[in-house]
Amino acid sequence: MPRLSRWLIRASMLYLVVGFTLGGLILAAKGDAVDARVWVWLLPHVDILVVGWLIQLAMGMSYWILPRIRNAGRGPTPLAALAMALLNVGLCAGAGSALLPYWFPDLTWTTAAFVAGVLLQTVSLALFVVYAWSRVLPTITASDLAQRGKR
Amino acid sequence: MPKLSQLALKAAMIYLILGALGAAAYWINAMWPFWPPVSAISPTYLHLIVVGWLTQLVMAVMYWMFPVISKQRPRGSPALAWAAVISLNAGLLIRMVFEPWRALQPTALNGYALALSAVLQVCAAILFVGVSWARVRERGGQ
Repeated sequence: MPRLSRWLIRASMLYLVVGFTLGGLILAAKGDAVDARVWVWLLPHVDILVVGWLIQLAMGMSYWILPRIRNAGRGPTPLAALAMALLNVGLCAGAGSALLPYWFPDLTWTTAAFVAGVLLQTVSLALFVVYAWSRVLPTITASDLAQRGKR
Repeated sequence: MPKLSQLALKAAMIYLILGALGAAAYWINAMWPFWPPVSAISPTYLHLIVVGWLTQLVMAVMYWMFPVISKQRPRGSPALAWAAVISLNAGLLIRMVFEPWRALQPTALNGYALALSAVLQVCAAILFVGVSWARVRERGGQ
């Protein structure tokens, strides 16, 4: 497993724990076991689990497993690394700022930070699609190579 | 495929069916109301699909296919992995019963049950990450 996949997959696992913890607190609040103000974390709970856990894990697996390009290996790795960096900055800005109203309900800039974070996440996902596009290739098997040899 | 992955994948498929049936019932009831209590199965059905099916499927496949740690201890501690799967499914099953019940008739019992469900699911995530962390590696160990 290449280094970038290891980073992506480990980051996704951290988001899994954070996202489940937020969800667990919301569920416990539903049972009146926790302060009901944790409901403000519903949006970051969804963002962290869908983008931080599931999508980031899929990015890590794609970078590892998609067919490699002849003479170029995994292609433009800096583009994939940039996508990962922007995704995580976007998650910290977006989901992170949406956590703050629990402690600081009067903050006014958190909505703008959330929007900026979501936009960064969108840009990062678009960058990753641009990166991965050229790696969606037919897999060359040993029998394909043997066939070519006969020709 | 290890036994744990087989069981988790089969459980995931059952949750997919339950979640899809729940979603269908919920949305049909929203369009053409036929039984008011059905409105209480949201967001339970959504979690059956996203946690019970999707997340559990991912966990099962990762446990099966990620690089092994060593030939002697290929997948780390099986006890921790079993604890993660049991905890996830126990938490989700408790939620499946008690969340709609609480939406219809809040009692102390269903309140405690939801808190227990939350603890079990968070424990499952922590245990899963604990088991899998060492397997996110460059190549399988000897």
